[in-house]
Amino acid sequence: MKSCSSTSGFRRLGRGYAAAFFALVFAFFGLANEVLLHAYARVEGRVFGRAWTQKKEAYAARAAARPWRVAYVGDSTVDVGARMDLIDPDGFNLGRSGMDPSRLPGVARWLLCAPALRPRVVLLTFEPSHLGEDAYAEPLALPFAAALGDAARLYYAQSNSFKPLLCGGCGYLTSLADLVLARLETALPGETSSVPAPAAPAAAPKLYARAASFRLLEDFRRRLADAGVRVLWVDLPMRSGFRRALAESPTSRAFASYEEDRLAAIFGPDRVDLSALLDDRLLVDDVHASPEGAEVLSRELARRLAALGAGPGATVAEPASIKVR
Amino acid sequence: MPFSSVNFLATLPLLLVVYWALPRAWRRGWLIVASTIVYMAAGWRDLTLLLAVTALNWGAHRLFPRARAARTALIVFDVLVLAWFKYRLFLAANLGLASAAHEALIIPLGLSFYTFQLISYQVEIAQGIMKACPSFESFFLYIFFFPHHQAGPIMRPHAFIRSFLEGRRWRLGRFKIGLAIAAWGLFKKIWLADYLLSRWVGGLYGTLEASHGASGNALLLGVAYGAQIYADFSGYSDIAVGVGRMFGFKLDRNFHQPYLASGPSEFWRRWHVTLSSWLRDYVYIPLGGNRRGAARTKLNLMLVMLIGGLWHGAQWTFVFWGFLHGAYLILEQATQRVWKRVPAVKYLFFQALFMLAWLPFRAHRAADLFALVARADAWLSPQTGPALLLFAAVALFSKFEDALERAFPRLVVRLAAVPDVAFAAATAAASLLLISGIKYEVMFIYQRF
Repeated sequence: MKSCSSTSGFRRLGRGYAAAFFALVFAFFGLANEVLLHAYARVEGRVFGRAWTQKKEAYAARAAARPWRVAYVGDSTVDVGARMDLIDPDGFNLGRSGMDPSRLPGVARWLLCAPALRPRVVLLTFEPSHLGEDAYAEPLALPFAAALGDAARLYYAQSNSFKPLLCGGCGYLTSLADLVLARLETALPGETSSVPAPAAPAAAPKLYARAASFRLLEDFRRRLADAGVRVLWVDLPMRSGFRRALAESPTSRAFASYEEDRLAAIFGPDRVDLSALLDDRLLVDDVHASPEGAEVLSRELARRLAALGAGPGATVAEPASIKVR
Repeated sequence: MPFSSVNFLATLPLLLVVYWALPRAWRRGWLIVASTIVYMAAGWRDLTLLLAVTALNWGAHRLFPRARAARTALIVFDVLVLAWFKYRLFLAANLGLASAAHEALIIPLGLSFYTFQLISYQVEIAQGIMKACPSFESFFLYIFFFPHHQAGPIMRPHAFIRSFLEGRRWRLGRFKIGLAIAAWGLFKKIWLADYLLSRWVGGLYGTLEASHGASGNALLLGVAYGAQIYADFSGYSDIAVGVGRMFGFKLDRNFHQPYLASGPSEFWRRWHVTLSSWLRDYVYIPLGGNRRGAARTKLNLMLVMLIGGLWHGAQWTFVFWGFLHGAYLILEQATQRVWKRVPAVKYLFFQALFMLAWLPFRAHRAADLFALVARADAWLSPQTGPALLLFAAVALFSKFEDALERAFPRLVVRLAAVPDVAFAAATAAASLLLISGIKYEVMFIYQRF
């Protein structure tokens, strides 16, 4: 092949060309990525999270008159599974579909930004996939050292382990692309079976022990505890097949063991385990409760919270100083 | 490690920078280190096997330089290694040996590909095309060079080994071309094959399997998987070729728009070219090719395609896929005169047959397929229209790629003239777009073979 000459002063770098070239690529990549991340973070509330914004507004509106006693923070399992009227009439469900631990610094900042917003007790739940997968919605909030450690440790186990560091969990451009894909998918021809499909066995989820996720939980708890807010972890019900699958795959078993150790270390006695509470028929899928299931689990959660001294009648000591960041 | 993974794409710049920064004498050593880093995703077991088989194939020539029997024995040995790891359970199950049912078959990464390359090496030495490679490093890289060790292209030894022996010089133009080809391959793999098609096609075949063949349109199933496997495998091959060029090595191209082929013989000059040319040179021609009469030619064609089918995997569905392609080739030969007058009809007829041949290639159970094709509404249903539209889209995409390929020499000149900073910026933007499409861990389809 004929040698092609370079047209810029770069050529003078000689052997270092490749290094200079990739340094530039990474600089451009990093810059473009950061700009997109920040731009997305600014518009997120307006474009992608209207329901979440409405929820926060509803919370703030009541809190202005009388602060909430309990806020239940978490993902869709909380959103659909926790009936606050049964758990604590003076509590608010702040669950949001797709929420993962990288959202917690933002939630903590918001809860502590005004005394009126600050609850006395915060309940916290994430289903295992949000703790063991790499799709972080707020990659800028990740503790860098822990995320880098995860990426290096999982280099061979998970071929996209550097994704949260390199491209922000792909949450931004991919979110935009998903909007297109969702429309395209509805346009693609499909066919539903006229014969009922046999119930498929629960697939073993590929979950990995990620220090970054648990560092976020730890930081959230510490930050709220400093402000006098008690944080309790709640394990919500899962289907028996899903729990079994979690125990069968070696990777997920390692994740489950790591999760258990870290949750015990972070929350100690402030934990409520309801993972085996519901019969499979009271769950609509692996982790989401049906309306009947939500009622059963909410009543049981209320009972357990009362036993832990975090129920409606309990008081929590005021902190010596409240740090508002 | 899949080429379309974030970890590979993040590691590649480091591998390249160190490679070109090192003195020329050290680069082969670094290529072995780099290839080991990439291959280690498959584990020590696979690496040990590859190293042992490669060392034996190289070392035998050092110990017995003139022994023809040793070369024959090595070819038999290579085939037996492949058979042991890939076909033993298939054979055992078909021979009714019950013990096979409880074993899980894990095929070492790239085994099917590097076995064929090792056989090529022995044959080329026997034919006097090349002499035994004096350097183990270079021979090992012929097999182990990471852009092609997972799923080809299946390289011929004489030219490829020489390029490792000689070493490569840095050329900016070649690097840019490699980057452009790899980026195109990544686009096909990440955005088309994985992001757009994989879930949809999975759903179509999931429905077929769940209903035991009672649902689904045969044409749509065939065209949809035909589009996915083309985007997947040609994407992989383009990445391999592009990355190879970034390191200074020229890998053979595997695809030349097969969905523009007017018939089966042309299809096999366009689809997985390095495999089909290997089968032609090492199986079809030694069997007598077309020199022993019409009946023998037909038999040879069928045998080659059956072997090609079996090469893909130890399943009867793959054998059936090979049988179908053998039958298509025979049919084309037998009806040559008819087609000359109606080339457009020939194109549509055979393309429809190619697409239908993907059904056994993708389906897990033959019984589902028999149930599917026996249904009248599997051929004419509301899904037939979209299937034809999808085929038109695939053909148009192939036409676009064909135009790109024709314009390639001019693109090379233009690419060389692009200022480096602008090229770096464009590369960065392309990387961002490509990487942002990586959602799941999706293996290349041909990595399983």
